[in-house]
This record gives sequence, structure tokens and C-alpha cells, in this order.
Amino acid sequence: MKRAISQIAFFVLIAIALGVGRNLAAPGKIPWVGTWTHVPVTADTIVPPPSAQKDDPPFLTFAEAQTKFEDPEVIFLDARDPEDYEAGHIARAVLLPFEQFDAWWPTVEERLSKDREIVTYCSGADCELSLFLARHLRGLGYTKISIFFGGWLKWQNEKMPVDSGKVAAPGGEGT
Amino acid sequence: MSFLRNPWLSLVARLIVGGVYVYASFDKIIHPDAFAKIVHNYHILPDVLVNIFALILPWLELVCGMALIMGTRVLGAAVILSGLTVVFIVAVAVNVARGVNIDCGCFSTSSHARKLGYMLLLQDAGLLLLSLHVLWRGPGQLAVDRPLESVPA
Repeated sequence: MKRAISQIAFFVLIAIALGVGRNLAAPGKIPWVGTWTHVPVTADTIVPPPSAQKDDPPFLTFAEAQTKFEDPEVIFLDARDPEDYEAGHIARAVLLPFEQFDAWWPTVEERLSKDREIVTYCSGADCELSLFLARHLRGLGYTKISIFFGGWLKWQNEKMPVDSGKVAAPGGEGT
Repeated sequence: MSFLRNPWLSLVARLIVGGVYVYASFDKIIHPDAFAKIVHNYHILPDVLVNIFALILPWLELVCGMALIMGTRVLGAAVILSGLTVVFIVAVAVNVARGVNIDCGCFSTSSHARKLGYMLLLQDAGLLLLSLHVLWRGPGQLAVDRPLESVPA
């Protein structure tokens, strides 16, 4: 027991020395205490991600997203992975995983027109996929895009309508 | 079940756990900023501890992993790595239960690396079993420190 404790202390001290030493000496230093922004899941305010830029598509509060949701003409796009979408998503939302965009885009493109109003979202916990997807779609010429940054987390917390279940993979080979 | 006590199995367990942790440490040591962001995304540690943890954890993985591979101070290294594996399992399980889609930060700090999921929990459980085996049976064959008194002949 004593030996275990002294060995553990040995490793921990070495790791602290190396970690601290690395941050003092080597390139890529980080502050000892970071400043982190939190996306609030209870308050209805918007904290855009650090990578957000001034000319990004607008961010929606939950109340605004709710209003959009009540309009059946507005299409919600889920930017997360298919597994996350299948586990649960905003009701009527359409899957368009940003990280597999090219594979899924044909399944979505036919349902969109350039003047259709689009809301993108992802998990809501510092997730930036919705922002990346919105930028990408704007680059393709879609103009009426906004981002619901509260995402899936906020939607669930507010007990809003959801769906779940399997989705057919693009190309129809099944998931 | 006598093969479970085979000292060659202990060696294999030690090499796998050590190898996985050494490999896992590299990218985090090179990119502390990206790793700190991943640690923050888990929403488990208080903000003030995030960066310190992100700086020290990969080195702990590296030195303990190397100790396991070489077979020196195996007891301490196996306790630490078993403990870390338990911590990772809890951290992943909490965030899978939250339904949060974040980067794993397991082997790579890239945002295109794998996300959290049940497969990951399964792999972590396997890793935990192997490191518990090292704790139980000691370093086995070909260890720098052999024989350890905790290992029955």
C-alpha cells in the first residue's frame, strides 16, 4: 500500500513537472486558467461560439426558434451525425450532417428552394456544426438562413416536440 | 481459467494498456489548446481547473504508459491508469446520457475525430479490464522491475 502511494506520487509529480515545464518553455502555451464561455441552456440568451463572425447568418433565441417552428414552411436542418439524429431530433427536422455533407446533400437539396426559410441547429453544447452548415449553405446561394444555437439540448429542456427513429442512408443502402 | 494467471498474459495486458495510453498522449501534448477546449466541452471540471488538467493529464498518460511498457513501478502506474480509465468512462457516460455531441479527445484533438458513443464505452471497459489484470497479477514476464513481491511465483 505504502509502495503504491509512493509510486503514484512519483508519477503525478513527474507529470506535473513535465506539464508545467512544457507550458513554460515550448510553443503553443496556454493560460494557466482559461476563460470559457458557456452556452446557457436555461436562460433565453444567445452566446455565439468563439468562431462566430460579424457577417454570419443570424442566431435565434429559443423564443424566435419556437416561432419559426410554428411555421410549417420553415425547414429545420439537423447538422449532427446520423446516430444523434436517429436518437432524437426536433420534430419534422431534416438530417443534413455537416461532416458528411456531400453524401447527404442530394437527399436534402430536392426539398429546398433558394427562397425557403432555413434554420440550422446541432447539439447546443458549444457545438459549431450548425454555424458551419449555415455558412456553407449560404455559400451555395441560400439566403434565408438562421441558426438556432440553443440546439437539441435547449429544445429538449423546453419539452418541445421531438421525433426519433431510423433514417435511410443516402443512396438507400440502409444504416 | 488458469490462463488468466499466465505471466505472458500479464505482459500482453501491460503492453496493450501502456501502448494505448502512450499513443493517446501524443496529440494532446502537442495541442494543449485544442485539448483544453475538449476538456471544457465535457462540462465536468470547473473552468479554473480545465487548463491545468489539460496540461498535466497527457503527461501522466505518457509516463504511466511508458512505465507499464517497460515494467517499472507497475503497481503505481496501473493504479493511475485504471483510475483514469474509470474517470473517462464516467465522463463519457455522463455526456452520452446528456445527449451531447462532442469530440471524444481520446486519441486526437481534431474536431473531425470520433464523437462519444457506446462503442467508446465498450472499448474503455476493455481497457479497464486489462489494467485491472495488471493490478491483479503484477507485471508478468519481461519487466524491468521483476520480481515484484506482490506477484505470486
